[in-house]
Amino acid sequence: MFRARRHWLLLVIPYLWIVFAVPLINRIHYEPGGIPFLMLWMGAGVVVTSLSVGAVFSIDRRRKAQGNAGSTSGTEGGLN
Amino acid sequence: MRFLISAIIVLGTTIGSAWMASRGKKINLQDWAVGGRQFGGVLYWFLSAGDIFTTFAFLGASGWAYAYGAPGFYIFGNVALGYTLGYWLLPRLWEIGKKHRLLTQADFYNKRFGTPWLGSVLAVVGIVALIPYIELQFTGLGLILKLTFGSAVSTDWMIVFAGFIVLVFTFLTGLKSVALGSIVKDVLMVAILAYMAVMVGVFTHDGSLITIFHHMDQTHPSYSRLPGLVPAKHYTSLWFMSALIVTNLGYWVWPQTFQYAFSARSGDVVRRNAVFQPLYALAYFFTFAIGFAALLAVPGLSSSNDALLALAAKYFPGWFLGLLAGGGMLVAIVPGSLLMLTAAALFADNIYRGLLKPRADDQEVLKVSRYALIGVAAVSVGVALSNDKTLVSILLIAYSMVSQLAPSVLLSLLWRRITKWGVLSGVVVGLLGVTVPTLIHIETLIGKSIDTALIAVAANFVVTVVVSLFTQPPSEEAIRVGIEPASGEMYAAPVVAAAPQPELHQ
Repeated sequence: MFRARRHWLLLVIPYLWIVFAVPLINRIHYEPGGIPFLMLWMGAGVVVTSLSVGAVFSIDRRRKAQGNAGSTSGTEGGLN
Repeated sequence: MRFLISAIIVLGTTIGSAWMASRGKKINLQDWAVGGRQFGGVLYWFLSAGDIFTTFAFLGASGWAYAYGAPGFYIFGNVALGYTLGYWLLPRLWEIGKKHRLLTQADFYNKRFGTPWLGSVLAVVGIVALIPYIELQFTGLGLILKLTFGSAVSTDWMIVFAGFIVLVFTFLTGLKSVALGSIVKDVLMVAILAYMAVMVGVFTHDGSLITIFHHMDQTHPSYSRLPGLVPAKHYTSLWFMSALIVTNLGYWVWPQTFQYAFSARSGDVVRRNAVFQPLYALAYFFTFAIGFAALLAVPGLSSSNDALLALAAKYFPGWFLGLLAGGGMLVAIVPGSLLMLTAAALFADNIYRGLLKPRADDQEVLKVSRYALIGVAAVSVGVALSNDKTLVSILLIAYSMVSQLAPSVLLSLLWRRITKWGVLSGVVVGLLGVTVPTLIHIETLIGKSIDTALIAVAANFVVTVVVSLFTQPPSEEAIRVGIEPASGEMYAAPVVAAAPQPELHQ
């Protein structure tokens, strides 16, 4: 059960990026093109989130497709 | 000219959406309140965007940039983290809603705790909390019209007119019009913000978008990093992180989020949306850039929420102001409609049917919902026009009460032992935790850099757990509403140990 869900740990990435990295990022003085680094970092966090959630979603979908193909037993019989 | 453009946008969108949503269809209660649970990816994306991008998301973000600089960047993280949590939470809510044919958030509490009164009590809280939120939309709308049209139109009459438009928009067809209207609203707003951000340097003779940042560095060197332009506010990294965590915990507890979660066609629509919805937040790049440009071009405004509009009014051409006013009105009207529809459904389903007339059928509840919509619109417009301070502070208490639903929403999906008394006492303690410190100024003792709301939520959480352990748990049937896969979508619920089961297609 827990092994099947290990990929959900990917959902920790957005929290690490957007919340817990902030004190470190705030110390950086480098400003590419004059744009504040924290602003770029937070904007990048949006894309990183989308990719992380997308990765979990695609793994979940693949698992479900496999589960559907493989399950001929009566476990789902009680659902209707 | 600009008045004509904005009128065409607003009337065209609202009447057009209502017409499209009603074509060849008899609307029943499920259609009206939760879109018949038929929304696919695109409609669902726009409906969710309709709730995120409200007047104050777009005026407020540029206002934060204008007043404080870097602290405002936390707004980028809100939506992203909301949907990271939402990837787990929303498919669960959707399943539960589908299985038990739920319409409202209060329905969820009733089923989960096996008691009819808890939902009715929380429905009252929900309605009272929604009113100031709706009123904010009208206030924002008034602001937009005042700054784009000057004194040419009466703001008060426009607010009354907007209240009327909301009724035209949602009275007959309900949630589907809101979703369709959202498409126009969001496409238009992103186009407007992009145009403004790109052209602002040209119109203010400040060069390009990039030179705005260079000028900011020269004139306001502290803007780019925390604590930003006003160090006395203590907007430190610690504040930044706690603000993100508090908003994340409270992200899915508003009653309207339950209702639009129920509107999706399938669990995968909700999951795919969690992948793509955060990207909308990239539009904040434009609003922040506009906020900074405003600080350079129109400094010293008394209210930072005016920054974007003051900049536009001073430097942009008339036709653009027409678009901005039209788009801005939709930004108030579309989310406002969603909120009003939620309040009306809570009243009809959980107060009228829940308390007054338990045997009312769906047709009757739909009728009551529509009358309630008129009532909610009238009350919100009235509050927006009256500006009664006492009234507003009472409403704000209810507003902070809603964020105190966070522990119970999360725990009811994770923990079998949570009870209705735990929920109720947690909410009461959390509410005191939010209001008392601001009354006696205890927050200076705790340290200004941590959001007091975080402490209140923590206290709420502890009390919910302790009281739950000492009171009677709900029935097994009620527990299974929250803690078991509802339609066999096994991967939606991390806490459930069950064999992989296929999704049912119906």
